[in-house]
Amino acid sequence: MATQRKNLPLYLALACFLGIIAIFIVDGYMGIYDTVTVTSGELPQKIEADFWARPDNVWSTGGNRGEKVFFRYEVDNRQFSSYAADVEVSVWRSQEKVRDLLARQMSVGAFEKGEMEWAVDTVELLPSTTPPEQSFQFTVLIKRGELERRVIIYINPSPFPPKPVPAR
Amino acid sequence: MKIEFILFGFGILFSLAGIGYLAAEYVKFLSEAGKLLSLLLTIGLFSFLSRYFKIMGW
Repeated sequence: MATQRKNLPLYLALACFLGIIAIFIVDGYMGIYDTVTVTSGELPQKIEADFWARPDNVWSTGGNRGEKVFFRYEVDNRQFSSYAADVEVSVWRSQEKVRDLLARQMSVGAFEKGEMEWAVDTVELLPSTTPPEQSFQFTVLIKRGELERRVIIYINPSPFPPKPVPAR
Repeated sequence: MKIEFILFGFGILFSLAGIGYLAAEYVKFLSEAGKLLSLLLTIGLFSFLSRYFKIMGW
């Protein structure tokens, strides 16, 4: 009896440790997590799931004029049930929709990952009358159910705009 | 008796290593309530351990 009482703090410490582990598993590991990988030029940028939990969760990246920006959207379902949601991707500028890129249903099994890929063509987005020295910004809006993820694409101006050939 | 203490020491070290690993990997995914509860349990863990060592005469 005396030994049991002596060991009581040790058992309580063990209970605290198990409680911490349980919190980390249930609250930290379990759930739905999404990751976006943006590849512009040769540089892939991975936007991890914890970025979306921040208050300033708008990612900004650059893109070269005339090139494509590639997106890969991964949804990690860490639940015991399967997960399904409608994913809509669109491009916006000045609070107006420029174009829809993707609208598809995603279904992910328990403890599996789902993936979607698309590309944003800067040639299609820029108006043909845009001067090469002008920069542009677009927002790629990814809607998964009620959740929204925003990635801003900054399209760089051409460093050396073509000069008109002087008339002879 | 001494071997018990050595084993307890190993147990404590492994526990701390486990908490450290989980904290490094998953603390960013915890909700605010989860972080608070984890903090309280960590305080409880250390206080109970120190009480245990006090009882054992350390």
